[in-house]
Amino acid sequence: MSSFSPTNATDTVAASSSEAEKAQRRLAAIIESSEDAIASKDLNGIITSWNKSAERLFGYTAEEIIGQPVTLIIPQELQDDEPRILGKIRAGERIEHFQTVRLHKNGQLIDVSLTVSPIRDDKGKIVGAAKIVRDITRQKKLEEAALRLAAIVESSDDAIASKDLNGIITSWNRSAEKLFGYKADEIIGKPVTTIIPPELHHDENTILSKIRRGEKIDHFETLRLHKNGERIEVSLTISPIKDDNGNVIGAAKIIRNITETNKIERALRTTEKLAAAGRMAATVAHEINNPLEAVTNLVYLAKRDLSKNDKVAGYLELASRELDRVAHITRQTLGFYRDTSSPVLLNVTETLDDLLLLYEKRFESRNIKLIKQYDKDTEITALAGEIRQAFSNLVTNAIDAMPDGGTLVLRVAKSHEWSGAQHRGVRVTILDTGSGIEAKHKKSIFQPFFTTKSDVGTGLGLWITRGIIEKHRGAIRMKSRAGQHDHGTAFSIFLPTEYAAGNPDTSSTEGKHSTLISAGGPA
Amino acid sequence: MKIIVVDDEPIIADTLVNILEGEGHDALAVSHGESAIKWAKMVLPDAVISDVIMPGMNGIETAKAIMQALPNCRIILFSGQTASVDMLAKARAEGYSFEVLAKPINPEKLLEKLKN
Repeated sequence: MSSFSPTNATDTVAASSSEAEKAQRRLAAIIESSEDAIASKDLNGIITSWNKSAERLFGYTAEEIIGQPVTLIIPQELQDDEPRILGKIRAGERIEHFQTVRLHKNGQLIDVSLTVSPIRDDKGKIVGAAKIVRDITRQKKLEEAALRLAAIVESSDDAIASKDLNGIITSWNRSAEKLFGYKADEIIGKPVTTIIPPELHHDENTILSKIRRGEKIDHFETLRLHKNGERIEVSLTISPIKDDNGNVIGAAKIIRNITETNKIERALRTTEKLAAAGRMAATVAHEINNPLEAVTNLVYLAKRDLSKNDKVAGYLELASRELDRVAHITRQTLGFYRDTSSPVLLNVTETLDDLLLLYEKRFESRNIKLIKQYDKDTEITALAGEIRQAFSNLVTNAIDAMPDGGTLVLRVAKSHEWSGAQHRGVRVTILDTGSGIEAKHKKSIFQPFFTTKSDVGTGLGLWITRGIIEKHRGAIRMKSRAGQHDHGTAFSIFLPTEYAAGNPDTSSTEGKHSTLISAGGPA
Repeated sequence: MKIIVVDDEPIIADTLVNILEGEGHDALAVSHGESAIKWAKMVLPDAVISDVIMPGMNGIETAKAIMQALPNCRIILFSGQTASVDMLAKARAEGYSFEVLAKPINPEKLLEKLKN
């Protein structure tokens, strides 16, 4: 039997059950059944005892290893440890929970924690060492896994937090700090209602009772409160945390800030509504303009031919003024996108990227490759809604030009105005490898109602785009090549860094070619 | 000034003629391109004011024919319809450039324009 045998166990004493003997046997039994590997060695480092757990841990049986040097189970590079350990033992010192690596019989390394104590004889002289060796490989792995997980949680872009079943916050990652403005040490231990707007506090009860039942909550869109009092639109995913026995002990939540996404969605909806409104305005306007023309003439004539009736003259004067208003409105609705908000600081590349998200599906389905060449720090002051509209018009045109796929290149570069170096700004180039614009259309593309897309075009896109760019005192240029090879279109926009409202009447009066419908209306 | 007004909607043509006459012009209303050309050749107007989108011969074809017959006649087109822009662009590509006004025209502005 491979059993623990104290150094002096070779002294065969008759099986008289003296108290000392009993105690020793009890001890031997305890050691033999211990979960920890227990061994002993003499002061020369020769192994003198070896329990069952040691056999399991190192793969050597007691018979094999007793009498062998302890260095057998020490990896080559750690051989220096042994003289040091022995030195300490000789000095009567105890070594506790020394974390090191030992060698299995099969050559594998084992992470262990060692506790080594001196063994003294009856006279108190140190004659050897007893070591308790604990396998910490699993513990180490768990620790590493926990650290890895912690690192993932900490570096996540989503805010991740946890709470107990009383709604007390128990963890808080860096993104949560950023999203809510509270530092981890400020908020841990506080009730989760700290970040819930007062009118939504009742939600928390519903959430907690679901969690207690072990249910998960997926992508729940709601509002949360920033430290500064601002409301944040978030999407919550909350999962119960269970202990080893499957009892729910808390909840982990992933909180995603969807404020920006929602803003973009709303902006898109508005843009779409405006485009629809534009289409309708274009249709309605010309139906209205003929009767308007007739009534305008009639009122003019009534006023002219009226003799000496001041009252009626007054009415007609009013009617004529009202007609001017109607005429003005129909003209205005054709330039349908007017942003009345004030200019803001906007990042051109971000604005473009936000828009591109909306067209992702179309890029995919049409097999359009996207190439971005962005400069850094491309901020300008501008009317965000209008700039978005302008970019959107150009990007949709590019997509429409490439029904069978192609490449869309977006270039954003810090630049100067073409005409001179006085105005600093940003140049945006939107280039497609589509069919190109035929030479005969090149002069017309910026005119209202000009379209080659008979089914989808309103003919207002480029006209509005140019209006917007001009309003920002920028400039827009187009180069295009139709035909068999190297076809495509590039629009280049210059936007000055600072916003200074340009010509407010953006309805494209091109004096010399009197081909644009614009003049003649009431101012 | 002798002026021909062409519009397929008689109420517009008639009221414009009335307005022009009130300012001392000698105006005539017609409702088709064809009759406009016929009358233009007969009365030799100083100006033709024509709608663009009309059934039959449109305003641009009418204007081109009158321009060829009467090179010194001033031609003013007016339109409330979007389709006219394409037609005008086409005409310009062929070398014809016209004055164009948007409907509704403020009568005072039209009269002023005729003075220049």
